[in-house]
This record gives sequence, C-alpha cells and structure tokens, in this order.
Amino acid sequence: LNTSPTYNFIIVNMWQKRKTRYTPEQHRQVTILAYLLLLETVIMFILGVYHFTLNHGPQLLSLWLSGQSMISGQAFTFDDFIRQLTIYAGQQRLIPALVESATLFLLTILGLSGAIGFFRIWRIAWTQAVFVQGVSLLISLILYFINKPRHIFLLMIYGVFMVFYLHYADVQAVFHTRVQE
Amino acid sequence: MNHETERFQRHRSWLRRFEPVIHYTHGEQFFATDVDTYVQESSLWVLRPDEQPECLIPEGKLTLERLAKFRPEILGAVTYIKFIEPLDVAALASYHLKQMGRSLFHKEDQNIFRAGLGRLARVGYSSRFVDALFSLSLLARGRVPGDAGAAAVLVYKKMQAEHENYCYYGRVIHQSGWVVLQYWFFYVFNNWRSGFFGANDHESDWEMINIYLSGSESSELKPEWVAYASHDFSGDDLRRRWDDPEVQKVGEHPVIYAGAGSHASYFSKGEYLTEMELPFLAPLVRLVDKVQVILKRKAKQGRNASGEKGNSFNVFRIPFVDYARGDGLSIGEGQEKSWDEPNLIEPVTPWVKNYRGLWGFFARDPISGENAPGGPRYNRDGSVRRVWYDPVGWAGLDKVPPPDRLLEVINQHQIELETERKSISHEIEQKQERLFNLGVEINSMKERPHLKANYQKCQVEITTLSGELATLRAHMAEDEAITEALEQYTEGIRRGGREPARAHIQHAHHPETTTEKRFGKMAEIWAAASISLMMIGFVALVIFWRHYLIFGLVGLVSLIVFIEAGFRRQLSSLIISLTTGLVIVAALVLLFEFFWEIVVVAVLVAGGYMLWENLRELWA
Repeated sequence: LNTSPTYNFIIVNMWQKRKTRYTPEQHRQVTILAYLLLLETVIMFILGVYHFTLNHGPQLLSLWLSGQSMISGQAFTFDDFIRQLTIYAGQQRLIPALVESATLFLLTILGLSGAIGFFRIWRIAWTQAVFVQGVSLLISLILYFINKPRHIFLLMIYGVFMVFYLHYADVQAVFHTRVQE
Repeated sequence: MNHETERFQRHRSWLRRFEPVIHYTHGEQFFATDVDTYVQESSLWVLRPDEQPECLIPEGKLTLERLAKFRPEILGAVTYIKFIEPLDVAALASYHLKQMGRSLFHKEDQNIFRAGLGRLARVGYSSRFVDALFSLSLLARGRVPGDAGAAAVLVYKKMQAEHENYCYYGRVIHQSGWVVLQYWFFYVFNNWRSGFFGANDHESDWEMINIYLSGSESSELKPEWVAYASHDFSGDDLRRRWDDPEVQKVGEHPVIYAGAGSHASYFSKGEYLTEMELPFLAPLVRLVDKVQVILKRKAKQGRNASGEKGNSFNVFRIPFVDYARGDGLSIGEGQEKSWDEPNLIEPVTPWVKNYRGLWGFFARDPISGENAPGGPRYNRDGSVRRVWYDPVGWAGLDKVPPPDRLLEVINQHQIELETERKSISHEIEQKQERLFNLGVEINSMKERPHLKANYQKCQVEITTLSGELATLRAHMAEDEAITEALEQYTEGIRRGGREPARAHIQHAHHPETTTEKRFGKMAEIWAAASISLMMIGFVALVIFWRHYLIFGLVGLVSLIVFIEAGFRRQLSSLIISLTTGLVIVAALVLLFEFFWEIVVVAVLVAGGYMLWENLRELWA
C-alpha cells in the first residue's frame, strides 16, 4: 500500500469530489439500477444457456471437439463438419437459434460491464445500459413474432421497466445525459 | 446651384459617407460592376407564348436609353436580356484546361476556389436524398447552359480589362421619419451552382443593402440600423443595430461578406448552410416546420443564450453551402479596390423605371432559380419590389420610431392612454350606478311572485352588465399597467438606456461553427457515396436475395444509419431513439397480450396508493 501523503491527498480528494458531486438520493438510484442490471445479466445468461441447450448446442460442441459426424458417426475433416453443420442447421433452424444465444451471451458481457460502470459511475455506462435494453427488446420482439415463447414477456417487461428507470431524472443527472434546467 | 442639384449632391455625399466594404471569397469571379458595359455586350429578346424567342435589339446595338423605351407586349410575354453566347467546344476546352492547370500548379491563386468540407457531409440522409431529386430535376427543368458560367467569366474579364470598374447604384428615401440609404450592386453573372456547388446559375444578379439613419435633410444624420438582403430572410431578422458587434465596420462603412457566386450579403464571414425548397415538396416542408415548432416549444429548446432561434433544418429542403469566407478581393474604404463615384438612381432613372423585363437569360425554369432576376425596382413578374417602395417595412422597422422621435411618440401614446382611461372610468361609473340600481331592484322583487318575469329580466341584465363592467375594469388595469411600463421605459431612455441590440431577432443566420464542420475526409467520402451505396445494395438484394428482401433492407438501412450516426457522433442519440421506439412497440405488445391483467394490476396499484395516502393523512 502506498501511504505517502500525496497519494492519500489524491485519494481523499477524489473520494470527496465523488461524494459531493451527487446527492445521496441520486447515488441510491444508481446503485439500485446497478443491481437490477446485474440481475438482468444473470437472467440473460440463463436464457442464453437455455437457448444453446434447446438447440443441441452441447451436442454440436462435443461433436466438433471429438471430430465425430452427427449423421454417419464416422471421423471427418473440418470441411465435412461445416458441410454437415450447414445441413443440420437447415433442418433444425439452428443458425438463428445460435445467433440468438450468442447475442444473449454478448449482452450478458455488455450488461455486466454496464453494471460495473454503474457502480463506478462511468459516463458511458448509461448509454451502454440503454443499448443492452434496446437489443434485449429487439430479440424479445423478434422471438414474439416468430414463436412466442412465454419467457420473452419477462424480458420485455424487464426491458420496458429498465428503460423508464434509466430515464429517471436523478439517474440521468448523475451521468450528465440531461441538460440541467 | 439650384435646390435639386444641391439635394442631389447631398445624397451623393451621404451615400459616399456610408458606402459599404465588400469582402469576397477566394475564387469569386464576378464583382459589383456597372450596367452600361453589360447592356452594350448584350441583346434584347422577347419570348411570347407558343412562339420562338425573337431578338428585339441585337448585341452591340443595345443601350440603356433603348432599354428604357416602353414596348407594349401581349399577356404572358417575357422580355429579357441575353448576355452570353455559348462557347464553341475549343474555347470551352481551353478554358477548363487552364482552370485545371491553375488548380493543380497555382494553389494560392485568388481565382481558385476550394470547397473544403462538402455540403452533403453536413446534413442528414433525407436531405441527401432530396438533393439527388433536385439534381435530377435540373435535367427536366430549364437551366442556364453548362458553359454559360465559363463564357461569362471570359466576357467579364474582357470588360474589366477594357474598363475596370467597381461601382454601386444608390438612392436615398425618406420614410416614416427614417432616412434610408439604399445601395444596389450589379453582377453580370451568378455562378453559385457551376462555380461553388450551389443551387443555381443565372445571368445578372442584383444585390442590395439598406442603411437607416435618424435625422433629417437639414440636421446631422446618425446611422441606427443596417439591413442586408439575404436568401430566405425577411423582416426583423434582416436588420442589425448599428452598435451590434455583429455589424463590422471600417470607420463608418459597414462590412459585407458576399457569398461566393450567389453574392448574398452576410454580416459575418463564414460558411452558411442555406436551404432551398422544391415547390412539389412544399406541403411536406410546411408540415415538418410545424412539427419542429411544436417539438421545440415542448422541449423549450431552439433559442440560444441571447434568445435567438438557432439554425434548424428541414429534411425536405435542399441544403447548400454559401461560402462567405471574406478571404478574396475586397472593395471599399481602405481596401484593395475602391468604389467608383456613386451612381444615383433617384429620382428614378429611365432604365430603372421603364424596363420591367429580366436582366439576363430567361431559362424557362418553372421554379425560377435559373431565370435571371428583374431590375432593382421590379420582381421577375414586373411587380414593384417591396424593398423599393417600402424599405422601412421590408426590414421590419415600421414599428420602430426613429430615436429623435421616440420620446415624442411615447408621450403622445401616454396622452392617448390617459384619454382612454378617463373615458373608461366614466363608463365604469355609469355602469356601476346602473348595476347598483339593478341590485336593489332584484332584492326588492325576491318575495313578489307576481314580478317573476321582471325578476328574470333583471337577472339577465345584471349578468350582462356585470360582465361588461369586469371587461372594462380589466381594460382599465391593462391601460394602467401599460402607462406604468411606458413611464419606466421613458425614464430608462432619459437615463440613456437602450434595449439589447439583438432583442428583435427571431432567426439569426449564423455561419457554421468549427464543431459543425468537424467531419473528417472519411465522413465526406461516406456522405458522398452513402445514398448510391444504399441504392446499389437495394438492387443487389432484389436480384440475389429476394426472399430476404425485408430483412435485408432493414439490415442495410440499419447498417448505413449506424455508420452515419458514428461519423456524426450521434450514436448515443440514435441508440436512445431506437430503444424508445422499441419500448413503445414492446409496451403495445404487452398491452395486447395482457390487457386485462394490466388493467387489474393498475386498478390494484391505484387503489393501494390511494389507501396508503389516505391512511398517512389520517395518522398524521
């Protein structure tokens, strides 16, 4: 630990600046949002895993790792694998499902860094959180118009609520996204 | 010296005293000049409906005296001057080769113009698309031939070589207590489109400024206001107070920054984004304007710190940049070139008064952008210009009394208000007396059933009279408040105070800031190519992936919009807007799927909240 006076001065000064910049109420709202973002991240990760499993992701992954053909059970090259994967994907509508789970995993990472940004009050975190909500709503709407799985309504409600919460004046004031009147 | 000559000399000296300084842009080819040589180099034509153009006076024979001669014409006929004869191929090629050579090897040449940031990079997609429509419309509309600009440059150079002159035309008008100095500048050609990527080209160009002086013929004159004619602006927005820092001056000479090619006048140097409107898109333009006004009112935005509305652009207008950089030739007091003696056109000289035709080629452009303008006195259709017969009202100065009459006007108004208040007071007294009588009458009738009809009549009369009395008292209170305000205003003026110099400006036209011009070379290339790329992408989708046309189009448009937003540093606002849109759709979906559940939850929440509030009040 650096205990030099200069270091202590900088740390104390930074901490005081941070403390005085926002009201306790604003800080409380931001912290709640950070936890809500964390919760959303967990939900998205679970949904991602669920979609991946639902669409034979683990089987395909193990096939790729073991080098076995799904159809004939014979050993094959990487090109064979891609060819067979394409045939299989065509049959099972695998590609959209994989894209969906990949997007959910990506959103998990973005949501996680957004949540950290909220805890640390990074200015970009607010836009990042809005982006995560936008993409999650987009996926929900696409799924709604394709096959209406029940769980997407949860994602939709959560997304709508989060967007409203993110636009709360106290939260926007902390991230300077609203011009002070 | 007779009275008229003396007056003429006086007006000439006033014009001389305040004559402006004009700064042109690097690359400008045409400068304010005299009309005599132009007319001598031109021919006079008439185009009658359903006929071929007829030459009335050939080139070399036309003079200002012959131009001023009245010529009766049938309805629908257009009389016009023709200045330029098309160049032959060899002359045109030689001109363009010389230009190219100068551009490549003489980068500091005064005659070479460099646009810098392209105009399309400064505006959004819709505007670029409308611009593409406008460019296509030039093929169908009448327009000045492509080589006319080049030919005009050659002829103008020849004219200047024979008799170099830089001059203006002026007149002095007395209106509503103001003395107006009106300066007219004539240019042989407007090459804004062909020379500076602007909206139009046309033969001849008349530009104008007014300087408003207080005082009279016999007393000392003091400049108070100045107004420059500029593209789309009118009324209050055109004029600036003499002490406004935006009005630059060299001694007593106001400075004009002339737009390259367009010659429009600006108070500050810079690059101005101006908008043109296509007639068939006019309803859409009006609609978007109205929506913008409502949105700005709702958001309480649109005005800067000084209370002026900033530049706001309509996607259905076509954006053009008017380059008024002021880094080229300058004419006027203490500049590279000086003005010749002022040419007075007051009392109205015959060529100004009698020639109502166009001052250059009639290109038969239905939206008039490529047709030459009328003279200083007339519009294109031959009607008299407002600025000619009402220069004070044209700049919105008709409601502003000259400073030397200000106290007199206020005093007069105060007397009028006092008289009005006395009259209202008298009326109030009479009505009040009548109302008292009616009040007594109605009270006495309350317990007399046989007077029911009179009672009801009395009630109606009381209601009417009471309303009239309230209106009169409100009027009286307003008059008192106005009188009080006038007294304070007078006191302020007596102490030497003035209202802010820019309080009258609603829409100020400011040059673009460096922040607005920040886009890089990549962004410019992108702006120039994006619409074409989108069209190519659309065709590729139709040919190769027709089954996925909708998805493909959504993807293509989204990709292009995201790239564009990135270049314009508006990615954040784009994300917010898109997410808001998705929230609305998702909310509608949820409402559709769970309508009754939502209603039940909403009722329960509202009930619970009311209960909580009531209990809290009870316990408190």
